[in-house]
Amino acid sequence: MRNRIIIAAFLLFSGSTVYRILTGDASWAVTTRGGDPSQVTLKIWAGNAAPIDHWRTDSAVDAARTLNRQLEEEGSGVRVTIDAINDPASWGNYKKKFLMAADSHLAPDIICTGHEDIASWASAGLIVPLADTVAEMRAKDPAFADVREDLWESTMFRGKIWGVPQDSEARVLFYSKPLLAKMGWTPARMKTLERGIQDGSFTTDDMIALAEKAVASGVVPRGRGYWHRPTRGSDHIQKYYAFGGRIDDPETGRLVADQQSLTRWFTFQRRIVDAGITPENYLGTEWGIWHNTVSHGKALFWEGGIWNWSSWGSKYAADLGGEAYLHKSVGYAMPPAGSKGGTPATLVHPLVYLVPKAKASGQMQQKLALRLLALMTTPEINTRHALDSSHLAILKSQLDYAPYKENTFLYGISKLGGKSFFQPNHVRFSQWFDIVMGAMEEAQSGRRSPSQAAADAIALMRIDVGEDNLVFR
Amino acid sequence: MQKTAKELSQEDTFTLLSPTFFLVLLFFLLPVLIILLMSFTNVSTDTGFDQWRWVGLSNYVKILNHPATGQHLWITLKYVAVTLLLFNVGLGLAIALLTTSIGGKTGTAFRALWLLPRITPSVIYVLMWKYLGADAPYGLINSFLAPLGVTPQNWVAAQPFLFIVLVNGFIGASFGMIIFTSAIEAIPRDYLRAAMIDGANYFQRVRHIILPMIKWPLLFVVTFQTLSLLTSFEQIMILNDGAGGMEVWSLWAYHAALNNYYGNFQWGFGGALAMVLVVIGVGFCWVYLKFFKFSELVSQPKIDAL
Repeated sequence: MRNRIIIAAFLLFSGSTVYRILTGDASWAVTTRGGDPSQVTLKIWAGNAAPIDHWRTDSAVDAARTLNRQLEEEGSGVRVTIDAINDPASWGNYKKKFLMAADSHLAPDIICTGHEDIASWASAGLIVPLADTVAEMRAKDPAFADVREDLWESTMFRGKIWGVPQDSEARVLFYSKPLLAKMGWTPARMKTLERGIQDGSFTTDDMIALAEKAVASGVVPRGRGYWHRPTRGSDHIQKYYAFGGRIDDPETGRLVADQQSLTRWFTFQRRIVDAGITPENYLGTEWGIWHNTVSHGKALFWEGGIWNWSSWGSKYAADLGGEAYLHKSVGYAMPPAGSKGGTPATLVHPLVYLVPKAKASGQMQQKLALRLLALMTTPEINTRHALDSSHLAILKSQLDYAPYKENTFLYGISKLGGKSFFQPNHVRFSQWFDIVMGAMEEAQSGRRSPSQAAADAIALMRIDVGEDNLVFR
Repeated sequence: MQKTAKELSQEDTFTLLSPTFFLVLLFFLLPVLIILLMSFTNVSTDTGFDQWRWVGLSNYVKILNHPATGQHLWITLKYVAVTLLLFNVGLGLAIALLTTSIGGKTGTAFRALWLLPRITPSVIYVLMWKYLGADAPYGLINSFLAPLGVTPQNWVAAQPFLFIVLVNGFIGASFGMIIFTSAIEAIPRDYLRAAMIDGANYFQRVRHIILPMIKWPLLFVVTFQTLSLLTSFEQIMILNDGAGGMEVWSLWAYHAALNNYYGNFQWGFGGALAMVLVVIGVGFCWVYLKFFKFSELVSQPKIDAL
């Protein structure tokens, strides 16, 4: 008898646990932020956050003061307090945390993340659409009307707008002025390099040739002619783009499987190693080594995000004079095109604020959250973040805002011209991206030839991305 | 009155085993059941937890048709076999034999040194390896090899398999070392002395006395460490995240289900990958139990049967 009771208890417990997990019933874990209805707490999260990125959440505290003042003037009894978490967790862990929180109705009221999350989180019904069109979004608040037109594109999915841009950046080609000077380049000639890239007369071929010359003449040691990002990341997609590749097809909304462009890109990745301007087995180099090397001007060319400028100035190149040294010794230009006459292009990866649905946050404060976001979208607030963390302006008015304009680096980058593009908001982009990155590593290391690696990538796309989600070129 | 094993009723057996049974049910069978069910669904970030649907065996069909399956399986088996034989069992046993033959404080101190990799936080431990193999002028290995005319390079990327084996092996060896040491120390000295009087040299004593008498711990270490190597990917993830063809099966499952670059996690597919690992693990256990003749090890002692 006793055995049967124990077995029955086991079965009951296991059955109910399995049922609750499979049905997503996490009601047992829900704790509501109830209490006094006049006191509203808005939770805001930002992820992968370095200390210099703290304004992504701390701006909400400032904006809440303005919001409370407005509410008081309106005669409302509601007062807002902010619960801000600037989470240092990696993107992967941060996204997992959000999904688990959302399933337990404990997601924040505002979440700051990469725009690519819109596709899967909107599909899963975790975030609210903010508007049907850009015009509708602009009409909601003058602050939203001030946002750069191009950035709204990164927040669109299935014809709706799902987020408010938080910041923007660019990935550029940096070069060492002292090393070019050693090769006989005058400051005026360095300017022609920037212009040559702009008009498509200075291409990746010219960059490789110049770097090879620097190695051959002993200006830099072998392997220090050109350093790209040392790990997987969106920076590499710029090269795919430079060689004619596209990630998505606007007409069908599908992702692109383009073996020819992949082959051209992978050929470039191996060529820089064979040419001796990038080290053999370079991918996987520790980030600390990368920052130290490039910020100390020990490579002729390197490609990276502009946000690195802040950490080079305050940390890695602090021993050489920080930002003053960088201005004197480091030049920058758009990443060159892959063929003569091509337009240089940079990949922009805006972070956006998203508003989770009530089923994710357990709260009905979406309108208040959007109102707070409008108050966070001001030139004063956004410029603080831009200056501290080396990010580009997201507002048109920031280009005329004195503190931003006075930052020669950011203002200079804003005026570089060229073309910018975003990664698509597509539910399978994550899989597409991992596949091309893996294939690129195989090609650069020489384990697979560029054409073999491209063929492998296409084969993997058929399985992991799915043929229904692909258009073949 | 105390009962012997033979006198225990079925009810007593069940009662005595119930705490263990409950833990196994809660922490092994239940998760396996959930993952098994999940593997028959398309649940992912984009379906959320309330828009998924049953997809039958399609995740398993996908594994069968996947162009990378062979590579992931091969590197997993190679990594487990080499690390297990050379380090987790081989080196663990070698250190145990050597330090017990030295004995005293020297042996203990030497063993304590081998615990350092295990007690060092993983991120710091792996970072040390990364800097050890880093390109010049940072890497220590390059500063030794450069005078010999070897071109400096990032050795972690150049020899990824060697590094994942070394990084994991140096941690794994300590586990076997502790178990084997205690087992060797527990062997009655009389047997060893008698063998020495009979003229057995050290290797003969190891072959004919020590190894047969530590068969139990050997079975335990081999089984436990096989399962541990099959399922652990932490060090590989930190070292190179599976680059260079080093994505072992568990890391593949982790990337699919929990951590890809842009975050559309495929829990259903990851669940199917994990189930395959469970089957492989159970298969290994079965082979080990047969190889080490487990049934003989747990049979009634012959002396009691007389």
